[in-house]
Amino acid sequence: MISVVLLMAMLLFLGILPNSLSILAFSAIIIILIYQYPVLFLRPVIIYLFSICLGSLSLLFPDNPFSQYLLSGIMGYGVMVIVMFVGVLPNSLTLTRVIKKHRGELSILTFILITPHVINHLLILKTINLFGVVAFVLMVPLTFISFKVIKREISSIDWNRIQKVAYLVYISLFIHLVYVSSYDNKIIYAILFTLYVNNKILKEVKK
Amino acid sequence: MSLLEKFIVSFMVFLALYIVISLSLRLFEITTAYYSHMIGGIVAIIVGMLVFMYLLVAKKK
Repeated sequence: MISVVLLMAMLLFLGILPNSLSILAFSAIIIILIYQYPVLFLRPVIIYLFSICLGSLSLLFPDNPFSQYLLSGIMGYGVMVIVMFVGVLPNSLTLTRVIKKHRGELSILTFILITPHVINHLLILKTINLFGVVAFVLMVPLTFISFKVIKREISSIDWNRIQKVAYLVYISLFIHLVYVSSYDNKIIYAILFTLYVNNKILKEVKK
Repeated sequence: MSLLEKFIVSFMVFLALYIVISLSLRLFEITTAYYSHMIGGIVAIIVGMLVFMYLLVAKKK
């Protein structure tokens, strides 16, 4: 497993993958780390602080090639793909159960890792895409209610209803990605979204 | 207050703040159109979300 992580990290380090495959490589790294080393997520605050530091550094040094993974949102999308797909995987899998335990932390991490991408486009590049803005704005309440302190205060019915907004986020992010990405990346995003929708429908029908 | 009402109240706060801030920034020519929308949007989202969170968390007496 660790060899797969190293292979993915090397591919990301070399920067030879297109954006869509970089997202998948980053997702694979996170999934393996959660599955093999769940102890890493015992103190999520440390990961949040580490991500905030990484985001700040990427904004301070935008010319660094590794900053592009944060500034183009690849790391954020990578975590979001996990949050998305864990909802459609069968609950009988051990992997699903392990990841579902940390789904809230992962969605907070998505928000933290996407924020440098948003700040970069809003303040530095000044090129905004409406669907991206909509997705980010909708992510704000979802992130807030993912914190365990706030989750405890809200009734579970309300919490579940608000979580349904996540589907709007997925749709607007997909449209955003299709708008801004190159042709080869568009195909991979379309395959991923079709897989998600297909499996989600199947899962809902089976309920 | 139901979830829909809480959403409507916070959305109204968001819209009102967004319109007031971005319009006033443009009317008094303090910023360009881009920054007026950006500042208005950010402030309105933060306040709107805080109102929504407050309404969600606040317990009935």
